[in-house]
Amino acid sequence: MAGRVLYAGLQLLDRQLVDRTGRLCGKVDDLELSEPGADGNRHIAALLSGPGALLGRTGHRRLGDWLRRFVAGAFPDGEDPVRIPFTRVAEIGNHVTLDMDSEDAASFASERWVRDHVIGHVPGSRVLADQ
Amino acid sequence: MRLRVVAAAAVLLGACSSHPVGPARTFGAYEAKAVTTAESAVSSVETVRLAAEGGDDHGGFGPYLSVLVSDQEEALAGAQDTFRSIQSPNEDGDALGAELDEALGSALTHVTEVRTALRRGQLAGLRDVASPLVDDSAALKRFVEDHG
Amino acid sequence: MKKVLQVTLGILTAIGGFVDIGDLVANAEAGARFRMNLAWVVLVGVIGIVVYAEMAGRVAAVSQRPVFELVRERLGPQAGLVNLVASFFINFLTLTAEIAGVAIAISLVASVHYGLLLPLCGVLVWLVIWRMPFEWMERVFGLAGLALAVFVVTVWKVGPDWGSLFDAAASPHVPAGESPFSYAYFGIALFGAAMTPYEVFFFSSGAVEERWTRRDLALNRANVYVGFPLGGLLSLALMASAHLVLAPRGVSVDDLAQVALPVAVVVGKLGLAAVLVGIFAATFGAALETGLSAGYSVSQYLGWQWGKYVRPREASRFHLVVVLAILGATLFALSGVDPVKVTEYSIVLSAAALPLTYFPILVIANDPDYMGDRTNGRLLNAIGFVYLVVLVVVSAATIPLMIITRGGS
Repeated sequence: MAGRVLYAGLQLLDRQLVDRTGRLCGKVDDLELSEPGADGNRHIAALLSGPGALLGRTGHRRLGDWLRRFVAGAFPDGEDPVRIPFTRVAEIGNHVTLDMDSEDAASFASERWVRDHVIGHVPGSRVLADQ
Repeated sequence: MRLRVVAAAAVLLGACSSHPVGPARTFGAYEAKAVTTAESAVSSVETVRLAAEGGDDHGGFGPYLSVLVSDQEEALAGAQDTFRSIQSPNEDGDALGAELDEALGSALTHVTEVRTALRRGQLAGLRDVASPLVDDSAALKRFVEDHG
Repeated sequence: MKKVLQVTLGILTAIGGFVDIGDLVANAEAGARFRMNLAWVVLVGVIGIVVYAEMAGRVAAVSQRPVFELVRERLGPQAGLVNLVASFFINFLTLTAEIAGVAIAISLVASVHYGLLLPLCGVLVWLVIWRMPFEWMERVFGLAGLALAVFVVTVWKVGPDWGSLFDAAASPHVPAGESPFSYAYFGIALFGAAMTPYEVFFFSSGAVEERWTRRDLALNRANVYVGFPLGGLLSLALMASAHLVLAPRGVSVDDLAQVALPVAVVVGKLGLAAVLVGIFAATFGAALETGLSAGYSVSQYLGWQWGKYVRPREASRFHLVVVLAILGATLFALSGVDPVKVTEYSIVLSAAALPLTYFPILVIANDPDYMGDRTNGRLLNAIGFVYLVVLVVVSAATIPLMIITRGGS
């Protein structure tokens, strides 16, 4: 991945993140840029995902911070914004493929909560209906 | 864009709730509302007539006709109530209102007869039960023509 | 042979699934009030949805992504959010109307007040979404919706003067006693009913659910180019039935039961049974689609895992949104709103939001990043662009007309 020139705004931001098994795990809500290097250019250090990140990028910084604190309080085992080091990016096409599992990548805390407290309790949630 | 959204929301909310009707200021306005009421009454009466004909001709579906006619009965009664709640502006309006109210009342009575027959499961002979509605419909249509 | 069967099934499903409560109400109302003078609008609407549904299906088959998922990427998160909020709200209204439609259809057979049936219908809709395989869902309710062909039988049985019928449709005018504003308003409503936004979003998500690939492009074309126009024919038969049976008597359509009346009167008991089955299938199928669309739109904007193609546990937030949408719609219907009014508002507001829906599709269908070598041809783009202009005009006229005609009264 090193050295490829991208139009970050066009080809990275708001793209779908897909884990290595093909599961969808959020969107690229924001980018973390590194400090300027020797050549004066910044590089993409990490992809940021999660509602706080999106709000922050679109100019609602305070709302974004509030949401991040709310999510952190409601789902303590989560991490928001989820920070995906750029080294974990496997492929960039019409979506961004990561070489990790969605469990580690996504702002999965709320998904896990809904799964464990709501959907998981409904009979049939483990069964694929499309058989 | 935002203005349009607000306007749309206002119209949506305003129209989803039923509006209590107030007085009509002029005879023209009162007459117009009377005509609208009469037109909707024609629709209800003719619907019931069609239902009766269909039920008689084909031995139609009891529950369907029951619900259809009941709904029209309710609509007719509602139209009568709504019109009664509009204040007539003058004496001419009073006369007009009385004429319409009588026509509506007659129609309502006969629609109720059809509904009752249906509830009792009497599909054969439904045409006869509904036959007074022919005159009711004609009276209402005449009203619309005279004042529309 | 198997391929022929598959294509036939697809087309039949598309025909039967074309009509929903919006089409039922709009076409019947238009036929009763404006005779055949709005038939041309249905034609224009059907061509529009054919053109754009093919694009949406192609986007999904080639890029393996549904259109709505791509709106945020191509147009930005703000535009995507506007799209999401508008679509979700209109979708919610539509879902309410469809669930009410299901309840009414059952009430016309069971003689129970439809309000009492609403909770049951909400639960049924959710249950089918939860447990029935996607393709099954589409097939069963699509094919059952073919029962609405009884409207064609109705028109044929009335035995109208076909020449004058076509003449009436071919030379539209504003009928005496109606204002041009009402005419335009109903035209917009019909147009919104024919080009309902949720249809394309659902169609393209459905293509991903059914794992379409490039090899399915021909199938997509067959479904859309043959199925949808025939579905449009059903709509016109609805309009003609009302025109031939209800309009001469001065009956205006205010409830769903009246929509079925022409069939009951002309064809009799068997016809009535068919039309009630058809209405049930059409509204139930559409309730499934709008329920799922609620989940699709939110999940696809935020990037959540969505779909019936994974185990429910793996798309928990998606399923939660679906449940909440169905619950909310059922409660809204229970609050006593007039289902026909809700239907009218859902299709009219759909018309107002049409550019929001269709503009992204045209953009994405031209993007080689997603489409590879399957971008739009020039003719298709020309047609698509013309339609976009029409949609913008329609959209701009909707709210003013709604205010002027006071909701089409």
